[in-house]
Amino acid sequence: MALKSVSEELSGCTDAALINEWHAVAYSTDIEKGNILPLTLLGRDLILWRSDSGEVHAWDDLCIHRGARLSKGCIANDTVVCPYHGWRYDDTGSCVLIPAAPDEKPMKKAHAITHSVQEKYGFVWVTYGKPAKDIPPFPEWDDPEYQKVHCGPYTFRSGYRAVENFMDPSHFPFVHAGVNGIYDCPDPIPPYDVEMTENEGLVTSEVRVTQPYGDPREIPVTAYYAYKCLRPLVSYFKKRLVIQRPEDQHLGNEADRFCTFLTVQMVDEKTSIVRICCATNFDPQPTEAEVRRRQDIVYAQDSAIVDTQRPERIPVDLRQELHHRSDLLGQKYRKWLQQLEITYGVL
Amino acid sequence: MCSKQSIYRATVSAKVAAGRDIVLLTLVPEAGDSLPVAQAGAHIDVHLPDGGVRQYSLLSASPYQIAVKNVRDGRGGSRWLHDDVREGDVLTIGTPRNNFSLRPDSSDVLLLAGGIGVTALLFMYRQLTGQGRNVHLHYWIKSSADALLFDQLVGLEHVTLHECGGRVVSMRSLIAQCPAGTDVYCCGPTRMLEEFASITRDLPPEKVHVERFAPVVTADGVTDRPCHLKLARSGMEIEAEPGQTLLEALIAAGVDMDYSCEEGLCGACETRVLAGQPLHLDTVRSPAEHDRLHTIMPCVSRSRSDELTLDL
Repeated sequence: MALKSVSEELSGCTDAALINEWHAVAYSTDIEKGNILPLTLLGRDLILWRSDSGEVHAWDDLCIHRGARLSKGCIANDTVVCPYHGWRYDDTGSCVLIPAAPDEKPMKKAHAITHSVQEKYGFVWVTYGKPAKDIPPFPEWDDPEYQKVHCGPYTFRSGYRAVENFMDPSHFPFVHAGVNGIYDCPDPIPPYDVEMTENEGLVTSEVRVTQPYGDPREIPVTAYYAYKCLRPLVSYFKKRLVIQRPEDQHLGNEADRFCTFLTVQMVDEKTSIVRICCATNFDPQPTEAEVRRRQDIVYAQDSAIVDTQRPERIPVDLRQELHHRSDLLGQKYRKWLQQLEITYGVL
Repeated sequence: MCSKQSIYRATVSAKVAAGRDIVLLTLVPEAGDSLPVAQAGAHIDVHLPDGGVRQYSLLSASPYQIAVKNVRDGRGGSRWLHDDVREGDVLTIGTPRNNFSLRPDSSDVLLLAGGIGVTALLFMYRQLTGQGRNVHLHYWIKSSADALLFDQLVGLEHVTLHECGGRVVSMRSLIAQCPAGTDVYCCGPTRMLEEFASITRDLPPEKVHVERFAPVVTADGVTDRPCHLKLARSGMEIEAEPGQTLLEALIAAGVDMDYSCEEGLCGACETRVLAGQPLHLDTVRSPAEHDRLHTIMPCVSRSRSDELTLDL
């Protein structure tokens, strides 16, 4: 009889394309020394903790001894202490103390199940596998001209539908009426190009839309969105803004850009957490509170509609839903998921 | 503001000749009613008595005016408007739609018109000059008699009429000469639009604007031709029968295809063409763009050659 291992039983998603990918699972500021942060990624339960060295560690939320959750334990002397029998694991994941046999050296197999972690752009990124590509580029992060503001987290059901929605300007007049578009006068979306690139995924030409208060300045702008779907669950846009009213011109200038770097943590097939970082080089810059207030409104409007989309598992075969030329980026996105042979969360 | 109502009734308040085989129809709302506000570049649907619908660009929006060229070998819409419709008749029309709107922020604007395609551009020209904006309209005509409103246009500032006998030869140099950042708008016959697409290929896409009425209608007989399809990857050979789309033939033969709208509007079924001459009938890409990319939308497009080899 084939024996199913504990690891298989608890592993969740098994798609190579998702396993061998970096996933943003927290903001760096979420992980404080002395605390354990439990989370779920792709159906698998993890803990994050920061050791005295400053490094973040991502382990299975599981004591190898009898399977108790380490997240119910605590941190003591730079070790994670299991709540059940007090086994202690150091920052390499090795068990350093079995209190029931304090003088014995713990066996080699007494080791936490560890995963690779990176901190980048203010997010904590975890992978279960060996990603062929590094975390995708976010050039504004290293550009001191840009103010960076992390917003969220925002919960969505389908992570893929959240990404697709992020890259879809034709919903603006309806879902974000009066904010990102005008309900009674939606912009026609002119044809735009989508190109598949090696490291930046799907890249579009600019798409023009009218926005009655398209950014934290809360003034009418004409916005030109250039999208990059960098990875299946990481997307980005750079928005060029032209202030419409002559009397508002002093509130900005031609070089102003609004960028958003969006990450999705797929908790499971029907639960996701969106975290974003907005980068602006406005002159003058909006306050962080102004940026956040507007993003909170927009993403609440998005999730209210996106979470009604059925089925939650997105159909990647284009025959299953109806598409239009203006949805070309979404079409290419679904096609990409299909080509990556992703089965988790898709239909 | 756009209106959600989609059908209006409008009275033809004037019908006047405006060039050889061109009439200018002025449309006013029926008493007590109003027509939606329209912007330069917009077009309206005109419903025909046989249930058909044709699109005409607006020459002005207050009142609505459309210029109609009588296409004698066309499908009958323009012939009906020319021969049968009279002042006082009531037409059923649709809400103005605009796929060809002016960018509000452009500094310099170049308008390139051919034939009856000048209608939308003349509306834009009047609006832009009214705003004191930097604009130049070039209008290619076979002869002065063939132009729309020749007497009004001749001698106008920032308007150049090119009597070219039907060939648009000077477009490339005009586009090359315009300052960087100029917004270029073009509307005219298919051949002019194809040439325009190839000339402007390397310009930023947001600066290039084309009005194209869709779906493209072919001369009778072309869509009824059978076509032999060779599928390069699978080695299959399939006959698309008259009256059957290429996509239908592929699906019937069991080919696993992406498709969605089945009307040439979405782009899902885009397929690479390895040999043969497609006849492009979709509105997702221009024919010139398709030919450059070697692609076809088999849900509506057909073949000029007896055989097409597809990358399937």
